[in-house]
Amino acid sequence: MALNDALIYTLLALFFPIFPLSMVVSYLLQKYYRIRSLLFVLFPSTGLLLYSISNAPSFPKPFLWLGLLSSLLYALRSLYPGSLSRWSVYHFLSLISLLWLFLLRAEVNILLVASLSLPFLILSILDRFLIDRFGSSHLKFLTGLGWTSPRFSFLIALSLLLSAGMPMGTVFFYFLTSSFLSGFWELMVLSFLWFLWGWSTMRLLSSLLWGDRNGNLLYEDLDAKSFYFVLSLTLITGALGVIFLEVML
Amino acid sequence: MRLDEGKRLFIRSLVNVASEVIPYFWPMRNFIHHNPLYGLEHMPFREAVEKGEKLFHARGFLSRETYQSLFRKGEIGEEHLRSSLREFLKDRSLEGVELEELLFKLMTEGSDLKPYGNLYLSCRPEEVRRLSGRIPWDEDTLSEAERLADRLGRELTLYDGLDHLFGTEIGRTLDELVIKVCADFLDEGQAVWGMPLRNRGLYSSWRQIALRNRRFTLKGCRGIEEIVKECEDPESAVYLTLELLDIPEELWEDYITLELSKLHGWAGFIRWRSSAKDYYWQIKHPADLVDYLAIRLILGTALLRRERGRLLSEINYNSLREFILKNPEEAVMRYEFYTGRAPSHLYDRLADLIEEGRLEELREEYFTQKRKLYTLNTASYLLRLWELTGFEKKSLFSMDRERLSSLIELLKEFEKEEGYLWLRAHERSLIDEIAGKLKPVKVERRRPFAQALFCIDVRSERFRRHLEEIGEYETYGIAGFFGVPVSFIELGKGHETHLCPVLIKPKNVVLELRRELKREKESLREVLEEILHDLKYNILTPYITVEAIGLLFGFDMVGKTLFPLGYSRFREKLSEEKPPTKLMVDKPSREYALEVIGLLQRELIRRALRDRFGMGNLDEDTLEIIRKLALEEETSAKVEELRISEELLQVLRQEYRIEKGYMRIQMEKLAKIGFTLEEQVFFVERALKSIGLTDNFGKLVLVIGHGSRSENNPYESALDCGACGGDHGYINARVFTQMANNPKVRERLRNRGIDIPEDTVFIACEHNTTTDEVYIYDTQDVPTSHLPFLEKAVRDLELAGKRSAKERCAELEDSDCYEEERAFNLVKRNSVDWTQVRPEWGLSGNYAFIIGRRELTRGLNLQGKVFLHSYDWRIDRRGFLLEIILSGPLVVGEWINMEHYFSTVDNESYGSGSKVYHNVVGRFGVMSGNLSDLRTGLPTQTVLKGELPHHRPVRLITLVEAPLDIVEGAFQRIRKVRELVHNRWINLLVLDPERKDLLLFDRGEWVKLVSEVSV
Repeated sequence: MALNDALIYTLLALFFPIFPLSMVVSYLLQKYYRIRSLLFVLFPSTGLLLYSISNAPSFPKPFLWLGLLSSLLYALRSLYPGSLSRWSVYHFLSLISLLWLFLLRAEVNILLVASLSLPFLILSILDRFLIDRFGSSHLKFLTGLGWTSPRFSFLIALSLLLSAGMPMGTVFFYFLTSSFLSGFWELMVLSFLWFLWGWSTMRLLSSLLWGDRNGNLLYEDLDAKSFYFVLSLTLITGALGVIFLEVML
Repeated sequence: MRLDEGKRLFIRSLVNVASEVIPYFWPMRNFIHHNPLYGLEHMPFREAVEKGEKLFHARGFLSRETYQSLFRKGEIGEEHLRSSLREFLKDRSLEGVELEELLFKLMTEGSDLKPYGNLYLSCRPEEVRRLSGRIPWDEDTLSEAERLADRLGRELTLYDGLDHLFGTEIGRTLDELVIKVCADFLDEGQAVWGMPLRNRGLYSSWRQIALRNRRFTLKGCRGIEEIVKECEDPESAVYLTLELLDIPEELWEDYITLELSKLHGWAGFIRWRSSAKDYYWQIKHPADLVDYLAIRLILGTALLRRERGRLLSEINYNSLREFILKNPEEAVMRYEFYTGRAPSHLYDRLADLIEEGRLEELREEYFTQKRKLYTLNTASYLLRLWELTGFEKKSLFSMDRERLSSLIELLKEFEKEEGYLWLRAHERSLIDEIAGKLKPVKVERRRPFAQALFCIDVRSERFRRHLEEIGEYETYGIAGFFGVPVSFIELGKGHETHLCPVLIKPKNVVLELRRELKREKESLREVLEEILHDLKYNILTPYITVEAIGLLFGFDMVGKTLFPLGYSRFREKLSEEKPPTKLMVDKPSREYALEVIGLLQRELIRRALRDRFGMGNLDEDTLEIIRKLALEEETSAKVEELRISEELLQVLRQEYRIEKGYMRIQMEKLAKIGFTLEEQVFFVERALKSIGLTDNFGKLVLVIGHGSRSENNPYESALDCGACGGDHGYINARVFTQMANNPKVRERLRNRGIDIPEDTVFIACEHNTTTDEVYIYDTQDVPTSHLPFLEKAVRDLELAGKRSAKERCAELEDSDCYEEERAFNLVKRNSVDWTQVRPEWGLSGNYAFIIGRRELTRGLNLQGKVFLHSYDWRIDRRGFLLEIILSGPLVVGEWINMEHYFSTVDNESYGSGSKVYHNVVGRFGVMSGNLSDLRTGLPTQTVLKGELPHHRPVRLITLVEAPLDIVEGAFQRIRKVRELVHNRWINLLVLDPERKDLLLFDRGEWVKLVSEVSV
C-alpha cells in the first residue's frame, strides 16, 4: 500500500470515523461540547471533501467490516449512554461509520452527508437547551420532561426517532439503501444494528420523558420562537429524506 | 428450618402490627371508597399526611400553583388565607421584614418559586453573586452521612440503600418479580392457564415453583433455591431472611412496613383477602401478608446476594451502614448522584469517575461546587421573592448573616407547612359559604302526595331538589342501605353479597326467588358465550377464531363506537330479560327449614342409590327411613328390616354429607335466611325515626336506592352505592319496602308511635345516577287502587330525572345540553358509550355532610356536592339516633371524602392515574400498563378536569342540626368519631336550634361562628 493511500485511508477513517480512530472523534465531541453541532457537520463534510479530492479511491474490504463493527460498537455503547449528549455522540459515530458501506459499494455525496448531519445538529440544539436550563442532560438527573415540557418533548421525540431511522426520514432511506448494498452477513449485522438503534432510542426517550420529575429542578419549556425554529429544521430533515429518496431512485 | 410455635406467632403478630398502615384494597367489582391513610387515623391529620409522604412517597396537599388557581377563582378567601398565615407566624418574627406580606405574596403570586437546584441559571448573575457570598452554609458531610445511615431499615430498605449508593435497580426488578407472582396466584379466572398448586396457599405454591424455576436465577436471584429449601413455612422465611440481612430486631417492624408499602396495592388486596374469611377466592386459594412478605424478602435477599463481592464484600445492614460511615463523603456523593441532587454540571464527570472507581479525585471540587450552588440558588430565591413582594432589595442586602439564616430557616418551615395553610383557608372559606347559605324554609304540614327516601349520596341532592320543585313531594336522606344490612344471594348465583357498609357484617341472608315456577334450562345465548370465551382464551384457537368470526366482532365494534345508544338498545333486545323475582324476607320457621333439608336429603339419597348402587326409584317413605338411618335417628333394627347395607349408610354420611353434624350446619345456615318479625319492626322503626319520618305519610313512599350503569368501565362500582358495599341499592330498597308493607310490622309500629296509614304503600325504586332514570321494582305487589298514583309518580320521577340530567350534563361540559330531552339522551349515550372515560362525575366534588331537617337545605342549590342525612333532633332527645348516624353514615362519608381528597392531591400515588393506561388484572383490579402496583384510588378522570381539580379537596365539613349537648353526648360515646374530629380528619359544625348558634369544633373547643341563626 502506498504511503499516500495509507494517509488517505487514515484521514478518511478519522473523518468518517471507524474504530479505533473513532475514539479520538468521540473524545473531541464530548470534550468540546460547546461546538459540538459544528463538529457534527465538520467531520463528515471534511471527509467528503477529502474523498472528492482523492478522486473516490477504492478501499480494501476490511474497511467495510471495520465500519460495520464500529457502527455496532457505538450502537451497543448508546444503550447505556448516561446523557442525551453522549447518546448523540455515540449514535452519530454509529451512523457515520456505516458510510463505509457506501464508500466501498457506492458513492458518498453532499446530500447524503448533509442529511445525516442535520438530525444531530437538531439534537445538539436541544441538548444545549437542556444544559442551559438545567445544567446537564444526564439521565440520572433529568427525568419526567414529558409532564412539564410538552414542546421540548415533542421535538426531542421527533428528532430522536428521525435520527434512529423513522420511516420517511433521511436515516431511514440511508439505512434502506445500505441494506441494498449489503451481502447476507452484512445484512445480518445491519438488522441487529437497527434493532439496537431502536432499543437505545426508546430507552433514552422513556428515561427523559417519563418517570417522576426531579423535585429539585425548576422545569421550563422551550419558548415559542425556539420551538418553531427547531421544528422547521426537523421538517427540513424530513423533507431531505424524500429528496434523498428521489436522488437514490 | 422450621421455627418453634412461639417465634412463628411472634412473626405473625409482627406482620399484623406492621401492616396496619397498609390500606385495604377491595376487589373492583365492589369498589369501596376508603381513606388511603385509614391506618393512620389515630394520628392527627397533619402528622398522618407527613407519615404518608414518607411511606408512600406521596404528596398530602395540592401544589401551590393549583391552590393559586383556586384562589383566583375565589374559592379560597383572602381573609382566611391571611388568618392561616397569621396563625403560622404567631411565634415567629424577623426584624425589618413584613413576614405576613412576604409569605402572602409568595403563596398567591409566587408561582414555581422555590430554591430549586437550577434557579440561579435564570437569574441576574451580578446581584446573585453579591448576595450569595453572605448566605450561610452549615451543612456537614459527616452528619449527612450519619442521617443517611440512620434511615437504613427505617425509611430505606437495604436494596433502596444499594440502589441509591451504587445505581443498581434491585427495587425495580424485585417489584416486577413480586407483581408477576401476585398476578399469577391471585387471578380470579382471567387467565386460562392458572398457576399450579394454588390451593396450598400463596407461599407453599410459590415455594414449589421457586425450587425449580430458572426464571428467578436468570433475573439475578442468586442462590434462591438454597433459601427456599431452608424455609418450609413463611414465618421461617421472614425470620431467616431478616437474620440473613442482619436487620436489628428493633427495626423489624419498621422494615416490614417498608417492604409492604412498596407495592401497597397488592399488599392491601392480600391484606383484605386474608381478613375476608368468606371470600370465595380466599377459601379456594388462601393468601396472607406473611406469605407475601416471605416471598418478597426471599427474592430481595437473593437479588442482594448477586451484588455480594461486586459492590461490597458482604451485603447486609451492618456492612452497608459501615460503608456509609467509613466513607461519608463518597457515600454522600454517590447518594446525591443517583438521586438527582448532585451539582448538575458535574454529572458527566461523576458518572465517569464512579465507573472508573476514582470518585475520590472529585471530592474537593464536588463539595465546593455543592456549596457554591446552594448559596447561588438560595440567593436567587431570595432576590426573586423580594422582587415579587416589591420590597426594596436594599433591605435584603443589608441583612447580616444571622438574620439571613433565620429568614432561610423560616422559609424552609413555611414550605413544609404551606399546603396545610392553604387547606385550612380553603375549608374556612367553604364553611363560610355553607353558613351564609343556610336559610331554613318553613314547610306547611299537610299530607303530601308522596315521600321519597333517597340515599345520602351527593348525587341524590339534585334529584331531590327537582322532585320537590314539581310539588307534593317530601324527600328524605338516609344511608342507601336503608339501615338494613343484607347478605344477598341473587337468583342463579351461589354466593352471598354483602349489601351494607363494609364496617358492618350482615347477619341476615335474603334469597332471590322466581315469581313464576319455570324449569331451568340453559339458553342458547349462554352456550354461545361459553364457546366464544373458550375459543378466545385457548392457546391455539384465537388464530382460527379471528379468521372465522372476526368480522362479527367488527360489526360489534362499529356499533358500539358509532351508534352506542341505538346499538345498545338492539343488544338489549337480543339479551334475555331476567325473570320477575321476589325476595325471601320473612324468616322461615324451624319446621320449614327441617322440611327443606329433608327434601334435599331425600333427593340426594335417590341419586346416590341410582348412581352408586344401581337401585331404581324408591318410594318417599323408604327414602325417609334411609335418611333417618343415616342421621342416626332410626334404630338399627330398620337396617335389617329393609336390608340396607352399612356401606350405603357410610357413603351417604361421608360422600353426600347426610349426617347430624352437617345437618346442624345446614340448619344454622338456613336460620340466617330472612328477618324475624321483631327484626323487621326494629329496622323499619329505626330507619324511619332516624330520618324523622314518623307521621304524615303520603299515599306513596318511594324507597329509592341508587346504582350506575356504564360500559367498559372497571370503575363502574365506584359509582354505585357506598352504603351498599359498592353495589346497587335496589335490593335493600326492595327488602325495606317489603318489610314496611307488612301489615304485622305496621301493627307493631303503631304501638311504638309510628302510625302508617293503611292506604300508604312503600315502593322500591332505583335511581341510575349515570342516566338519571328511575326504575320501579315489584310493581306486581302494588294494590290496584294505587296504580294511578304510581303512574303519576313515574311521570314526575322522569321529569325530575330530565331536569337533573340537564344540570349534570352542563357540568360534564357538553355543549348540547340546552334542553332537557337532549341532555337526557346525551347522558344515556354516555352510559353505553364504551369510549367514554367519564360517564358521570360520581361523588366528585363532595365537601360537606349535613345532618338535619330538610327544611334547613330545601331552598338551596347544593350542586350535588353535599351529603344530606335527614334527622330530627326533636324525636331524639337522648341522641341515640344521632349516634347511629355519626358512627355509620358519617364514617362512610369520611372515607368517601378522604378517598377523593387524596386522589386529587396526588393522583399518581394515592389515585390510580389515567384510565387510558389501565389494564384489568385477574378480574379484581387494574394496573397501569402491563406491570404495575394495583391502582387503588380514583382515576384522574374522576377527580381532575384537565390539570385542575374538579373535586374540592377539603376534609369533610359536617354540620349537625341539634342542640350542642345532644351532639356532644353522642360524640363522646363514639370513640371513632371522636378520634376523627379531634385528629382533624373532619370539620365538625353544630347548628344549635335552641341557642341559635353555629359552632365549629376547633382545636378542642367550640368556637361560635354565627349567632342568631334563624332556625
